[in-house]
Amino acid sequence: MRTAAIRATSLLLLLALWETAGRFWLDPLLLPPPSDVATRFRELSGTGELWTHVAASLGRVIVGYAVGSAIGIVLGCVIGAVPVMRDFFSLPIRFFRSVNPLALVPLMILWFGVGELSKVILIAYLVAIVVLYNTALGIETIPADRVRAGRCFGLKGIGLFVRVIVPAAAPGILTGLRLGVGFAVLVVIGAEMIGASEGVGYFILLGRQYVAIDDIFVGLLSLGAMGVLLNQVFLLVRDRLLRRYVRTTLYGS
Amino acid sequence: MFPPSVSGRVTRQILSVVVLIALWQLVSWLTGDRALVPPVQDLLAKLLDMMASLELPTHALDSLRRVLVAFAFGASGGMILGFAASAVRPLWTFLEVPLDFIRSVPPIGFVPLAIAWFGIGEFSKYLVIAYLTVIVVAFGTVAGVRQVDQTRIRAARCMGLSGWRLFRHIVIPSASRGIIGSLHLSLGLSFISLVAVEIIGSTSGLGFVIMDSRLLLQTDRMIVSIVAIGVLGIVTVLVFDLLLRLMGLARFMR
Repeated sequence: MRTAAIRATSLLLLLALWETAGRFWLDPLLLPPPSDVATRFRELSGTGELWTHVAASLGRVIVGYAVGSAIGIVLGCVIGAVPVMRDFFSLPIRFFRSVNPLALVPLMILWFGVGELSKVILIAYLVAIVVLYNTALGIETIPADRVRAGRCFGLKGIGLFVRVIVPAAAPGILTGLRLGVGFAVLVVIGAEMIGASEGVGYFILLGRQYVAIDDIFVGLLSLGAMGVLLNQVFLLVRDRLLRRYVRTTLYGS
Repeated sequence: MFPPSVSGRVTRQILSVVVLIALWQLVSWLTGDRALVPPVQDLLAKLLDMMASLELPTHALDSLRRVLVAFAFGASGGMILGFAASAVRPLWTFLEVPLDFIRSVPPIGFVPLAIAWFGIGEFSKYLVIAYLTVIVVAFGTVAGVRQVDQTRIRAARCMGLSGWRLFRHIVIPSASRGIIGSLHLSLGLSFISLVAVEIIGSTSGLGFVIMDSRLLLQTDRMIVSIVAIGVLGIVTVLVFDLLLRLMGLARFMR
């Protein structure tokens, strides 16, 4: 309760500080005070301009994420469960994981054009790599006793895989899926800044070209809100539907 | 779960590289456009070319300097902030929510703002790379300090330790695991911010070479630079870990 009070005061204080700094101390064009940003936000959302950009970014993230996570889970299960595959893919996975995600944006645009395809492929690829890695790791590190126990109950083949291995690997899969959300948002903004005609990244860069810093702030705030929203949706789905698979650690889940 | 087979492991790993290269060559041949998907021999030739002309080392050094300077300032700032906020609890309650929100915005979003505020010079680049390190290390430090066993502190107090010596001999060692973990993480993240900064507004560094190659449609130069920045990132993190180990901090690392 006391913490909540301090937090609320802190936010109000921060906004007040920002307001005074922007209005009286610095140039309001350079540091637009919160009231100006709020006005600009109302304007942009009133005309629907902001929502077009947010919808474009969200659409790309959702499609790319869905494709990438599906591919990542399937491949990760196969690679994690078959020792030969694991050896075979260990070096390539290490290589692709170490490639800088943003560095790939120009290459993807060069290969697949400035349209939707390059963005969706890039997001899907990055999500697939991180999900694949964590899924394979999750399956690899299942305690042997759990598999033996499953066998004792007469499970084998597909039954063993679905009833024992996948649930035991679920915490690893969920870790990968959560990291994937961050990568997807990061890279969609990069792709939109380099080659796009709509999207939050494009909108922010446009704000810089017109030196409209209030626009940049509106863009950044919607970007942060988007990240928080996607993360919360992820946590909600995880805790509602997949609660028993969440790995509890010293730090909480 | 499945016992690893040692025999043939190396063979399979070598095989995977061979297959990967063969696949690349096949794709290159199928697209029939050496400029768009350059075969491996073209990439190697380009690599030698860029080494000989010193283009690659020069830009790699620029990138490395940006990361190292920003990381040094960011990590120091993050630790100072983290320890200060641990000592003065209300300060952290005050900062936690705004910092968490800023952390959830991808660093590339801040590049246009930094350029608008501080121009396209080196300062804005350092700032964009460093701010995330400050936040990540501050969170790591606060978490580390929070984990310090209260019994240890009481025990040390009983033995007469207080103030700076308590901090130096009890708090810092106990919080080291959290701090070092966050340093390791933020060094890796610094390379993502680095590329963000260099592909949006820069005239040097490997990220700039990647963007420049896009405008000139030089796929071979672009791919060499992409791989180079990946290698630079891995090597830097490895060297950092090695340095920590040499400093005798291995017991605080996972």
